[in-house]
Amino acid sequence: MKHLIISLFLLGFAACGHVNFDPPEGFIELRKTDTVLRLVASDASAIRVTYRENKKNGSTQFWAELFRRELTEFKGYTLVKEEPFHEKAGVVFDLTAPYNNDVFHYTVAVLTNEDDVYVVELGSEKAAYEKHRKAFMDLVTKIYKDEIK
Amino acid sequence: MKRALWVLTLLWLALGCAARKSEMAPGAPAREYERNQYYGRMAAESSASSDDYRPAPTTVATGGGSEKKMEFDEERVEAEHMTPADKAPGQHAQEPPRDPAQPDPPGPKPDTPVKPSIARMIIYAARLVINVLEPEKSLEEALAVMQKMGGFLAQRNNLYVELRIPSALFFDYVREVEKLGIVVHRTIASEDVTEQFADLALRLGNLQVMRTRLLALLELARTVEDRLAIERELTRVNGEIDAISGRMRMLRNLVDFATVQLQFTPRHEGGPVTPQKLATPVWWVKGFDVTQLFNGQR
Repeated sequence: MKHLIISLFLLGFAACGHVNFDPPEGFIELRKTDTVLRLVASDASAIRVTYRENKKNGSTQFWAELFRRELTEFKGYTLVKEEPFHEKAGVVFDLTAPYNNDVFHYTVAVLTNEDDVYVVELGSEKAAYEKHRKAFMDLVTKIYKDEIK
Repeated sequence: MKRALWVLTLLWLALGCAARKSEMAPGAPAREYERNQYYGRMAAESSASSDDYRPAPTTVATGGGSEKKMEFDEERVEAEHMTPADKAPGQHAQEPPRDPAQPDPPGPKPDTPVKPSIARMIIYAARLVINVLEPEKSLEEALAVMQKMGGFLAQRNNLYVELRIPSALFFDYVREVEKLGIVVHRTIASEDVTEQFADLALRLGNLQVMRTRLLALLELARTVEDRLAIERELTRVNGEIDAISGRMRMLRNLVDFATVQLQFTPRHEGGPVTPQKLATPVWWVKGFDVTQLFNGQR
């Protein structure tokens, strides 16, 4: 009985994390904390899911503007495309990023609701990007369905 | 007959004087020329602009200009104490380098030169952090400009360099390197060490007088105890003279060559990393970066 209670408690505690998502095809779970999940592919592409508690009035528009400013004006990434995700639920930025004298694709999705902010990133070489973008969007859709909606 | 002889003698004397006068005449213009040249130099010295103004060398003031020479000698002695030797050409030590970006200060215009009554000794220093696309290349360019201006490298550590630039070209150099990229941090400082230097010069003079007196006393000392006491004092005075001389040399060096610290930081193409923009107010948003994503940080 005692063992059962402890097991249930531990199970419940483990489930408390905000980033309990299965890795999409081609990725493995490399590291996970309560708020950050890091996944990598064999071609060194990487996905990272970050959870943050949303603040009062923290609309998708607010976070989208903040991220756009940070990524383009401060980090210097080139914005290739910006599209909304499920209307006001989120926004997806397609960026190109200089890294080690080459250009990498960097995609950032920001999903929000009243309580949560999820940021999902995909970094990949040009050649592997298209292949992983689908897996990335599947993960974003899953987060939207499970946590945001 | 006697009267005729007297008249002839007088006539001969009169003719002789006239002939002598005519013989001396060609030398007069030469002397006049020398005099004019001298006055011309005097006039040039007195009307020279402050840029060109420098204590007249003693070889210029000669002959009848002894009073002027003394005046200049006094000024030169003062200048030698106050100004660093071997100033860069075209810039007198009495004039600190003027920031060309600054508007002309109110006061007399260049056509009404004012000679400063005392030479100022100012130490200049600058620290710049410059955001550039190619740090190595920019650093090499900064070093090339430094060499062109007669400076030297004091220290180098990756993309950080510490340079010494002739004070006269300090602001020119800063302006040149600022063109290499986006200046994200700039500190320019100056320290006026005129009083400090004057105090040291005074103390040095007093100590030298004291040393001369001690040496004279040493000659007069008769007992061994007296000699030992005087020699101890001489050693102390010599030590102080050395220390002050060293300090003065160091100050002169710092005044002659301004210190410029340069740090180059890499910037990505298209990414201005604009220092004018306010930073992102939410701290965790700043952590989103492809470098961190690949490196597995956070």
